[in-house]
Amino acid sequence: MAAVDLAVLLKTGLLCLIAGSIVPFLAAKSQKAANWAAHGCAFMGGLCGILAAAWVLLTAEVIELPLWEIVSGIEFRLKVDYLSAFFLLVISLITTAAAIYSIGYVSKYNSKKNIAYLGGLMNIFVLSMVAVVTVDSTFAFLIAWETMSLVSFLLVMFEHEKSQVRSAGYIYLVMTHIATAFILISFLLMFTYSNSFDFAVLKKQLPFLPEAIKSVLFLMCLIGFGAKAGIMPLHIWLPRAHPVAPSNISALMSAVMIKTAVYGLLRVTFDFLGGGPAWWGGILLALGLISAVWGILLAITENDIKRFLAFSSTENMGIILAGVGASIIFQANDQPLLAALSLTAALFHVLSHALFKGILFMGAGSVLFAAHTKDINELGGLIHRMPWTAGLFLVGGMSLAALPPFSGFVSEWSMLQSMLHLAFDLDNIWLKIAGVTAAALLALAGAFAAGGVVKHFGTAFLAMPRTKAAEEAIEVPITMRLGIGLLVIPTILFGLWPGVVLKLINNITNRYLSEEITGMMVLSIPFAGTSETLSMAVIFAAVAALLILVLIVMRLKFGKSNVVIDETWNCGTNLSSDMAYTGTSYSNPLVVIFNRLIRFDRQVEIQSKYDYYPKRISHRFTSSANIENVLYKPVIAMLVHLSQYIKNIQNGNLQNYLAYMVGALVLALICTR
Amino acid sequence: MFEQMLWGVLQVILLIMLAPLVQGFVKKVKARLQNRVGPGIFQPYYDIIKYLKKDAVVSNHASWLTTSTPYLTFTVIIAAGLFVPTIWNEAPLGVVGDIIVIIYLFALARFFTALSALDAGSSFGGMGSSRDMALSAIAEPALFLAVVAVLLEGGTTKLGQVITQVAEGHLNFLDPAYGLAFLAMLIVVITETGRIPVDNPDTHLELTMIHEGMLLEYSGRYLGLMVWASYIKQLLILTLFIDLFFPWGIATTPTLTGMFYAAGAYLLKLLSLGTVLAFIETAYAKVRLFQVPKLLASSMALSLLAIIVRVVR
Repeated sequence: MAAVDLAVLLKTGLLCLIAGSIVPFLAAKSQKAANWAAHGCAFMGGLCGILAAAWVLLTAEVIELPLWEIVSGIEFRLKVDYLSAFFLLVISLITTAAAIYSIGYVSKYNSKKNIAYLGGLMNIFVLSMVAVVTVDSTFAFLIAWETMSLVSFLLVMFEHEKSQVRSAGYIYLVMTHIATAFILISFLLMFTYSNSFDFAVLKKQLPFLPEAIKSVLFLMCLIGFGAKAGIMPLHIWLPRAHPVAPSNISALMSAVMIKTAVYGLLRVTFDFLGGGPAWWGGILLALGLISAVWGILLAITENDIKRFLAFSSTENMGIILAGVGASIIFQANDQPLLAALSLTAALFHVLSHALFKGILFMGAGSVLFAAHTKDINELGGLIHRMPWTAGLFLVGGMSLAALPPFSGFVSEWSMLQSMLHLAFDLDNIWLKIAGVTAAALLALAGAFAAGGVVKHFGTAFLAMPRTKAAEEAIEVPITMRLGIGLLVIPTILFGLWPGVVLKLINNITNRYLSEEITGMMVLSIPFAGTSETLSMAVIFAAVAALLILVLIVMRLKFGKSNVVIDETWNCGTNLSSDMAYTGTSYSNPLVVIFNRLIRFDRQVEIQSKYDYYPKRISHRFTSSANIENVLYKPVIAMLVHLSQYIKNIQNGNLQNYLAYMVGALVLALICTR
Repeated sequence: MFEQMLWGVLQVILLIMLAPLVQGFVKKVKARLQNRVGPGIFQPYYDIIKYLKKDAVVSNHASWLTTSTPYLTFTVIIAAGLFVPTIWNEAPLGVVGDIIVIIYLFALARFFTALSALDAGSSFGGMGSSRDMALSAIAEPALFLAVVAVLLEGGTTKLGQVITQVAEGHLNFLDPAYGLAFLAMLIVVITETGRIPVDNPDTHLELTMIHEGMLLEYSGRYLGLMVWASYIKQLLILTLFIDLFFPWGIATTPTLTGMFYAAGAYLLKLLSLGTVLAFIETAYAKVRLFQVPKLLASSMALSLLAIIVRVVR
């Protein structure tokens, strides 16, 4: 009975999304109608998705939904197992919030751009992501994957009249197709060995392949999915494409779309290949940690909020992959319980990151909506004019910085535990040292993230407004605040009560590692002899009790504290907004300390009559990863060089092309004779 | 349960009351070493009480962050104290958290302090905030590594168990790994307590200040709470150092006499460690801001060496 209901629920959700993809175009005449139709449908679709996914995870049922037989044998069928359901839940959750947020946000394009186009494409985009995590064959997966890539490309190009957007979109298109190419090769290889596109057959046959072939498959998928996930050094599209897309779309792309890469990687490694040797895990761990530290280091130097968030996505995807890597290492070393812990940490971080990155990208969108800029050096003092946005952004930022009591802290804690247990419980010397180093690097990344959040929140929301636009900003419409608020609730809930999430992840770790990490109020690691436990609820209660106590004691013992409001003391001169620390100056110490890893250009122009009395100083500061220059420049140069030869073949001459066609036809006839 | 709560209350009172004394003692020793008379060792208490009684001045550009941060910082630091064993090897909340929680609670307090420093819009606050976040970003992994170098033997992040092992003599200073970790931790302790050669707690000079820069805009009760919180944090860092490297004398069972002796030993160890800090403060000059990362990097290198020595053996 329940199974039927679930299939209906999922179907309803899909129908809502399909309706949302079509109706807005029919209602395109009226901006308002298109807006409500598109985002209303997306909201309903998300809601159905949440219910269906949560039901699957809690009751361990599997939904199967045959949709369309493309050719006999190749069927477009949805199958929601635990892994799919978890990612479906993440997608649906963010979609629901983003849909509400978008109702307010797209009004910024009123009578300037086609809202029906944006809203309709957003629905197709969500639909394709749902398809990616639920389809049941590699063939359908590739179709869904490619749709997702193309639709997101169209969405990135929404403000295509700006040249910056066009170049970002172009780089995104190239990188995403490199990803698709590698995944395609890997899936075709799988087909040659198993003679099937079907996930179920692949699961049965692939684990018995020789080690070398499995490793090739794994590496292909790692490059393909790694490029989509924005792992260094394939991250270059992320900080370009995410900032230029409309903010509701960047929230979806960063919070959800890049997670589909994690889904793909987990599906291939754990499901198809049945885990692997420790060195796979080692590669994932190393790549993940490099991405985490370097990504966040580059993030800090950025002054554009959305670029900061995009680089931080690289960091967080790195952390997730490091967790997956640790899980593979533990599995290869016969420690299923710790493997389950690491996988739990990785999946928990998938959820945490989706939540806080959703909050932050939408928060950055609100700032952009109200003050028309995302450069923090032109903002300031927004907390007074946009108190709601500031508060919501702060919660997201604290979760990003892995500070208690939010969900980001719990996932960071479990991740650190996984890394430390690499050192505590394995016998291999190298793995021990790797575990300790990994934990230290994670701590480093966490501290950097905190610095980045303080920089961006502090510069944009605190002190005095630096420009007129920031001064005139007003609080954003209620729908936008509501959309962000919808994600703040689970961020707090999962932080204080991580047992809920563990319950959702249980079935997945149980399925792949036959161990589960449980705990309702308390997150605990049941490990031989020792048991590290963490109860955020108790810690929060202790802090709250202490806070009340301190307030009462201060009041009773020393009376009411009188506060005089006055101008900030500025050594006797008048304080002006340009005296406050800017974003650039805030991150300068880190740039100086890590100048080997970051390349920065500083241009100072001084206009003056006399040397010591400048009239006007203009200062430009740009930073970039050295890796982009070292790695990409030669590759691009080589490609350009090779293209010269292709020019000889593709020369625009019609007769030549006709000759090619005849040649190809003759060749085909000979081959198939 | 009741015992645990009573113990928690006692520990809170102990930390709050002891913290200014340690500060006063270090100042006094330092003054004597420099041939000055110096203020009495109870001066920090008088200062805090004076601050708490006074009215506060708050900038008109400031938001609710400025007024709530002192209370938040103060309580979060005390809450971190509930995870640090002092005279009994079981910390009051040791069951629900570990060393990672302590480090991240410190980070939470620092986060709000750094934000509130930007709130008033003066450049001094930004300077202190930016420097503190940059240095702490390197100090945090250094602290982590130094602690893990000791935890590795016990194979757990629970402080209580590790301390028992150290106290029972599983680790000693003849062990090179332990000695290296000790040196590494000492550097981190100096950084985290904001003392010379990393930071100078006695100055408001913009060229050198780090932590003090963030408190410049505070006055009255807010300043009192922030200063008190920084004393408590200093005490906690020192206690952590004592716990990991000289836990001898700590009570392993909660008997009254045992606790009494443990308290005496704890105080003695704190004061001797304070003397060492005063010596270092007198003997060294403050290093340049951008030399500090090198100091911390050497701490990390020492920790890593300690870890390698431990795992290879």
